[in-house]
Amino acid sequence: MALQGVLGRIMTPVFGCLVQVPRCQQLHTTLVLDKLKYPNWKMVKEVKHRKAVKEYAFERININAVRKAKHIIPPEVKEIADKEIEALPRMSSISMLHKRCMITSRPRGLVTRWRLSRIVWRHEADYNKLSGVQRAMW
Amino acid sequence: MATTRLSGSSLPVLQRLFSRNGILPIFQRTFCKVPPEDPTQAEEAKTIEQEKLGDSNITADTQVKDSGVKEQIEAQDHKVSSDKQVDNVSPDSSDSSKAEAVQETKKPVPSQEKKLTKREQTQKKLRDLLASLATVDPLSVESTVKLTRPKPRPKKEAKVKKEEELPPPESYIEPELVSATKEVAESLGGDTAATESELLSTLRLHSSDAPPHTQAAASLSELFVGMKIERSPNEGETAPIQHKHFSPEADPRRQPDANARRRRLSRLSPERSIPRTIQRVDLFGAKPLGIFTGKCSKSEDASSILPVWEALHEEELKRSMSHPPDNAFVEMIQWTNQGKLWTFPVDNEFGLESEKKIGFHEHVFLERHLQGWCPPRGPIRHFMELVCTGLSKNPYLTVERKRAHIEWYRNYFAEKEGLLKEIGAIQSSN
Repeated sequence: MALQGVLGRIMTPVFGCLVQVPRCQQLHTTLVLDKLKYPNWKMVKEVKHRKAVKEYAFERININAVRKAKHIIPPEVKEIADKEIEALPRMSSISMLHKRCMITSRPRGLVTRWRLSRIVWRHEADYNKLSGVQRAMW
Repeated sequence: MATTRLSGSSLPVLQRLFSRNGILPIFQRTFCKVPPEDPTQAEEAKTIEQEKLGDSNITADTQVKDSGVKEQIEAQDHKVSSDKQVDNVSPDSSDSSKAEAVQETKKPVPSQEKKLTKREQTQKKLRDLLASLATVDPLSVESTVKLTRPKPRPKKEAKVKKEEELPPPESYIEPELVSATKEVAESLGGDTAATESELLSTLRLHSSDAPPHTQAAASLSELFVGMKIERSPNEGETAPIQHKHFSPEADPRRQPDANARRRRLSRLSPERSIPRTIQRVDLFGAKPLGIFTGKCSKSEDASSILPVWEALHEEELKRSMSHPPDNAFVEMIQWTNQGKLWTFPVDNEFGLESEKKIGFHEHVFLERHLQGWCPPRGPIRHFMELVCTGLSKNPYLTVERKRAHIEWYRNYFAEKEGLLKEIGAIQSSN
């Protein structure tokens, strides 16, 4: 999606008609620009993961609702639902996501609400960047 | 008895002598060659003489006591010569008569003669000496006495006629400077004779030999009064220059200093050079050139080879056109407009303004969406009612989203209709 956006900006003439993007251009070079804004490649993968999760979230929750309604829906329907959910891409599951710090890409020691690692969180809090956060003192 | 000896012509002289000695200032007082009747006055005269005169000037000053006075009073009068003649005659006679008078006065006092003889003798000697010196030709007092004169004020007429008058021949300019002005005029180009004359006139103004009134007039305005403004013969033909119009001919960087001075001079009188009338420009009168048509597109070859380069170049162009924020406040405003920054005070329902118009009944009563497709009884109905209850309790979803959920289930169960019928979930008869 980002790739197409970038190429669209480059390639489209002024009248705005779509231009067929040749396959050779879907290689590494154009995608790099989007990825260079993240601290490391692990975070790039995590970003992809989250995008996929967002894409399939609607389907997944509906199918899961059918799967989890134990004594309401007949079991044949549930089996079909299980198979369907397995067919969806693995990246689209929320449980497969591993949160990271948005600034440093640290996988552990995260403060969930701010999506930051504890070190960055402390730094920002000390510089008064986090609303309502104060040094504990009692 | 003394008075009878005196001639008639000497009376006014004597009167002048005795009346004026105290009144006149020192330089105008008569320098007495003729001894006065009173000894005190003789002493005064002596002291005056000694103070005022030098040895060389005794003859001149003493000679013309009356004529000097007359000349000072009536400057360059024709009577002077006649007076001089008269005066020359009178002192001799008066001298002799006065000497006799003095001598006669001395006689009736023989007792005091011995005491005063020395004094009298010295005075007599002086007087005789002065009388003898009276024969020398008179000289003009004017040349010896330096008197202050008023400064000659520059007349207004002279300024106006400066253009037409020839330069004064008094001022002297070195020949080196003259040759230098010639070279400068030739190097500048244009009208060499005019430039040369202007330069020479300015040099004359600043030269030391020039009289004070011309030197005082060497101010900026005076300099430019003489210089004429250069105007091209085709001034009326060319179109008048618009206020914001950039003309490459008038660009100061393009031309050397040759015309810069002329233009500077012409700017002094802007009323003359720029005409008042502004002509309207018709933008669509002539045929367009066709330079900017809006169909310009980049060549595909260049961008295909270097996509990263192109993208970065585009970003750089965008950055060059956009103005970076002046301060942090402006930056924060930009971010808020882009949606990167929350608006403060924080509103939890930001972006859901349209939801305020929608009533709660649309959120809560979702069973109406089950009408038409959902069986009235059975497991599916049961399931769907649970779904509706759950959705009605969810305040975070929009009505469209809720409807979309129900629609999705409709499609889902429509796909599995055959299976459901087999199972017996849907009763076809109902």
